[in-house]
Amino acid sequence: MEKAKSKKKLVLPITGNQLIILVALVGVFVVFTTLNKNFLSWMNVTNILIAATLTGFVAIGHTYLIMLGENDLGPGSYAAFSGVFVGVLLQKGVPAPLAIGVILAIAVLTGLFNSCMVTKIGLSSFIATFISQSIFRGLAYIVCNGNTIAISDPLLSGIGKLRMGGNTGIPYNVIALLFAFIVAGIILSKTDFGRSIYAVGGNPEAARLAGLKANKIKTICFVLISVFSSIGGVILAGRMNAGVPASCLGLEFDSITAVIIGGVSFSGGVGNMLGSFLGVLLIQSFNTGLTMAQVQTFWQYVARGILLLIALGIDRYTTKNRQREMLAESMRNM
Amino acid sequence: MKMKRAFALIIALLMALSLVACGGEKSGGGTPDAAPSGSGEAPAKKAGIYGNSADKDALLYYGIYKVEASYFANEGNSAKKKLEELAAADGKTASFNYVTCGNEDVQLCINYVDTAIADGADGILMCIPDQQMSTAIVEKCEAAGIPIVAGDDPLIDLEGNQIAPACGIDAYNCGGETGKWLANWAQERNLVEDEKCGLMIMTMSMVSSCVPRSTGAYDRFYEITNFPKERTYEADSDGNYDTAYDAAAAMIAAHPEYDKWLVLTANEGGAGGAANALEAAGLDENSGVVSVGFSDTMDQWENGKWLSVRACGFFSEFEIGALTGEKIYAMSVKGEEVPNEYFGVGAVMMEPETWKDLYITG
Repeated sequence: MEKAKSKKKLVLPITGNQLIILVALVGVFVVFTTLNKNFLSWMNVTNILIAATLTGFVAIGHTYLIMLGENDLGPGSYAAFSGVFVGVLLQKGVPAPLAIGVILAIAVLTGLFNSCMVTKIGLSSFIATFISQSIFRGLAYIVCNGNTIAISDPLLSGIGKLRMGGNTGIPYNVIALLFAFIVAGIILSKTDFGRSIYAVGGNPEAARLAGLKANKIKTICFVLISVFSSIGGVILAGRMNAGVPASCLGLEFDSITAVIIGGVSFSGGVGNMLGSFLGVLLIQSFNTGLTMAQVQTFWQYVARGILLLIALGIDRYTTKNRQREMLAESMRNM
Repeated sequence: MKMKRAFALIIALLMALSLVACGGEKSGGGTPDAAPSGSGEAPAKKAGIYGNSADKDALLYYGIYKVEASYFANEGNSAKKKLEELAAADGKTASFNYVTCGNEDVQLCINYVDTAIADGADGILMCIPDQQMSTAIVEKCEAAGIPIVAGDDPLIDLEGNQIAPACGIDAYNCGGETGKWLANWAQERNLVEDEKCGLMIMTMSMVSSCVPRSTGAYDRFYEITNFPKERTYEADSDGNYDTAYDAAAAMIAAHPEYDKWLVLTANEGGAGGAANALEAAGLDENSGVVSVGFSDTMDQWENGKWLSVRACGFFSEFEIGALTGEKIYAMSVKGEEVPNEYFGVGAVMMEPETWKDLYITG
């Protein structure tokens, strides 16, 4: 009888949380398409994906870090610095591939620096990356003396603008983002490294006793988010034909909101890449919809705050439920 | 543990060094503790703000600008140069402390004013992030006996009256020039009657000093043309390249019935965003973007980019900077009572073909 019951149980390929986001996403599309039928047009969907690229890359890094119980407040600054510095290097005659290589190397060092502050010195990741945020925003202004750097390099423009299948096709950077999400998702769910993130984030003490090297895992994740942020910054610079030191303000807030909406728990150990991807899409669709409806920017801030509040509420509710279930399970086992 | 101790030691050393450094800088100027409220004495300079620095040999001026951008860097440098020239002519020296309020951070702006007062500044040049805070700032300066001159955006009271001298181009008229230019451009191409042409006003509702630019552009555009209002749309952003791109791209996608756009933007971030969004949509060839500000567009035109930006309202930041320097020097050293008026410099519409002949630098 018990077996028959379990056979009938509907097994969905996505979690309940993701189902909520999907419903919300469909809701956003229905509402905004009702307001403007072109919201669902191919051009607009592509626009949403393009706009989501930068936040998306950062969200991959944030998913790993927040699942570990850590955070990074610097991605907006890393991205702005990368966009400006790549422009400065190009102006000085450095070939584009080498300039991008230098940017990525700096990103790796940034991640190591952040990790060092957290794992060696013992600073909280909020404080450590707040320091980096400030340093890199300052450096972004310093390297260009506050000026916007014009970029005309064809490789960089191509990275930012080229599309598969002509002018109306999917931009390659969107394809790169989707690919990155898929690979990052597979790593998270199918590899030892991914499982270690769940373990360390879920129960650091148990993970330590199991012999997992938490600091090493954190270091890799700090490096990854810096690298992803820099990639995003370089793509943006290519798309804008310019490195702008004031760009990407609040990028980390968008990314963290998307990740939390996507079901990654702030207390660590819970979440996946699909959820984060859906979270990014939801936020960007919402913002684009508001713009199309000619709503002032003020409301986008309010809307984002409310979305984050709802997501944190759901996170808290599901965390409590999970703890209750675990308690009930252990009581049954006693 | 050792690492922690070492880190704490480094922090302590840095703090000690910075205190020593600050102490050293104060040797020639006023002391922060000499603030009027806490001393129990009447403010020394309360009687007036003109000519207080006539007897000083070493002058110190603060330039507080609303945002970190090449435009303000140029304006500040030009003011510095003018002050150094004027001081040298009188056998004095002038130093200029250029600071920016991050990304239009109001709190930071007030902090800098307090710092300038505490530093014994002889005058403040200010491009204010939010005109609503003008009264508070001017009152602070008056209490400290320090003259202040506004650059670009005037300092105004709650009724909108100017409460300090200002140099620049007023935002409304500058926007108006861009509106006028685009209206003529549209009429020459019969775009007013063209049902496949939309008008996009790229507003920056969050940046108070840019709101009048958009209003001026809109008003003047409609004074000249009778462009149908139903083909006019507003796309709001914070004026950064990336957010302006998203706003423009969304508006273009929302209205595929248009194959060309007329775009009025309040700053160059808007121009860059709109130009790139039009290019991405393949509509740049027949569309026209006009913006206020010229520093970044010039580089893009040099590189053969942003060609859908047909013209920019250029007001020389170098000229404005020099004029602010001249006024503050006249007030602080010469004792001239400069009226609370707007001292304007001419606005020029720059186009890709003509800008090199018209561009004025410091």
